[in-house]
Amino acid sequence: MSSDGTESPDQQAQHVLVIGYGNTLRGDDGIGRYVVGHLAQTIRAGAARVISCQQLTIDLAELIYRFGFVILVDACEGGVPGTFTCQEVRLETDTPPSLLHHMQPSSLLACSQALYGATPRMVLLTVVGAVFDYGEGLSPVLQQILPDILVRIESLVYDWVTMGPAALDGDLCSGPDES
Amino acid sequence: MTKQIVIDPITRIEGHSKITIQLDDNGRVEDARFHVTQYRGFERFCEGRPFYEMPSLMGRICGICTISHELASAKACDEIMAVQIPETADMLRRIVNLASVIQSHALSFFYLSSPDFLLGLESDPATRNIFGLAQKHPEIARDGVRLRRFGQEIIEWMAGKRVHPNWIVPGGVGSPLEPEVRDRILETIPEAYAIVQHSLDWFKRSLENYADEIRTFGNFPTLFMGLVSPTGGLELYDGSVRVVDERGSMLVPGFAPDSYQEYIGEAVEPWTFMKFPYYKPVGYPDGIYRVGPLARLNIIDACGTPQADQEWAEFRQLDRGMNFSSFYFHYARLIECLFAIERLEQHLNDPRILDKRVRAYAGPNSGEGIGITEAPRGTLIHHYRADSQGRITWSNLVVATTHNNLAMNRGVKQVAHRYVEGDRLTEGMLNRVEAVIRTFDPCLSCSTHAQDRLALHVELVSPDGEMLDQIWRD
Repeated sequence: MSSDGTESPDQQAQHVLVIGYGNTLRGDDGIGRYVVGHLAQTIRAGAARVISCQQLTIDLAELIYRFGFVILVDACEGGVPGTFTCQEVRLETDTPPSLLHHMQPSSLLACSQALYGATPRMVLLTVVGAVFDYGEGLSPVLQQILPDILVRIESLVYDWVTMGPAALDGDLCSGPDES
Repeated sequence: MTKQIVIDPITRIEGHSKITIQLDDNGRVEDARFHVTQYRGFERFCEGRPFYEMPSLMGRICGICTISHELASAKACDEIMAVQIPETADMLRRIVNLASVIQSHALSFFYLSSPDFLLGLESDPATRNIFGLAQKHPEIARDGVRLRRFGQEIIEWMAGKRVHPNWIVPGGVGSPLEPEVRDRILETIPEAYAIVQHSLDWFKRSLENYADEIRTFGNFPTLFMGLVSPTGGLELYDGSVRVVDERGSMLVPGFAPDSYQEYIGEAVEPWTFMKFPYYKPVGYPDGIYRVGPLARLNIIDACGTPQADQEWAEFRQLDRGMNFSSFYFHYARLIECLFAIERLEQHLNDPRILDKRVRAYAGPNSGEGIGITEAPRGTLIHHYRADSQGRITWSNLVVATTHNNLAMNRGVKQVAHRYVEGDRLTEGMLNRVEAVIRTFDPCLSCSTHAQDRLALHVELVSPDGEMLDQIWRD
């Protein structure tokens, strides 16, 4: 442990970081932030660190490279509202990142690699939203699915803690909650 | 036949805009314009809202300049309440303002402009960004990330979150500073000093590489304007507004915020949503002036902190006095970062900083309030009128980027004349036209609120450039 109470990169690499992002003023767009808000209350202490933010930005690279496994939670349009998918994010160095307002998860990984010479394994959990109009709160369909999303993330965290990188070898989308 | 070159959108700035360059029959630049193509309208939709909501509402104008707008708004509301805020609240507001300046300057210098310096204005635009910088100069990119995070974390630790906090309120701030937060900030200061000093060192060493850009990037005499402290020092939160001419002579040593309309007029042009402020005693458009880091370092008698004063003295020797080149905005940002770190360290070490009395309470005791601060990009004015119930009936914002509108347009024209020729267009030429805009670090999200005329102008132009018809929508 360092003098400021934070763990060293090696210590943190064993752990999991969950980043929920989106705009809570645009209905279901904020699902990622609601998810990490709940996780902060429920997840076993020390198992994972959770972060809530408006969007992915380059300064997150300085944080993620210290972790072994990062789970991103975001919303999307299109598809059946209330369904969600998980997929591993791969490092892509040939796509220039958008820098200020929107950054792709793969670009965040690329920045982590370029700036700090290390990248975590990363999974993006994407939830199909129903309502993206101005307004706070989740739509009924996402409120209903929220417990299932939390279970899925806790499962991902548990698998990583117990199995390490082998936890990502299987089909991430094969859980009972996907439809 | 006349031809037009359009650069749309301009990249690596905050907001949406385009540049048009008009060529003459010989393919030489005849005119150039910087158009702001987004419209926001905050001045109108805050009408009818209670005054105490204004800082939070106005903070939403921008995600980069949130703190600046909240502070200017809160100061205007302090006047509507007719209160003097507690001295600790004043210091706490100053600290978050300094932190905001640091994070914004770091964004401008490292993320947006240093790819031009370090990768070259002729380099591949696909990689001429912070990502490309991270691959070629990772240590400098890391410095940028760290310095921006330094400013953002101070805001987060003190105000609750990095973007759009609701901690700055009419009458003061929402909560006092906790000792552990003060100590945590103080622990991070040495690294911030090191980053800024290191960056100043390499940037000063590399200045000779940019002689052509220094000569042609918005390099012309103008007036300069900004806040100064009572002793003529660098001031980013409060004080009086000084205007100096191109020789450095004071036209106005310091006018009070409530008299800004005697000195600043606002013109509207049909081809852009951004207004054109001008120095009223000279008139439009000759009353062109600049605000922001370059202007602030041109108008002051000294910075007022040891390390920044040393750098400022060196800066003032570049052109033996007033520095006209807008390229020096970049240099000025680094000096202001140094000043900001020194000043916030002074505030944090002041024993009064932990005082719990940080807010004055009152209803509406005045029908009008004007708040002026220095945003990272320059002087920011919020002016409100309220009814007896404290509901806003009228507002006027004169935003930092807007002050520079005349100068940005003149700068674009100057660069276009130097680098653009009709029969030979290169990426490097076009990027230089964009880059002169970047020197001002414009924030177009903040600056687009023209109300006097909806700037919609449709032109029907024949292939040979003749205007066949036009429609105005007022």
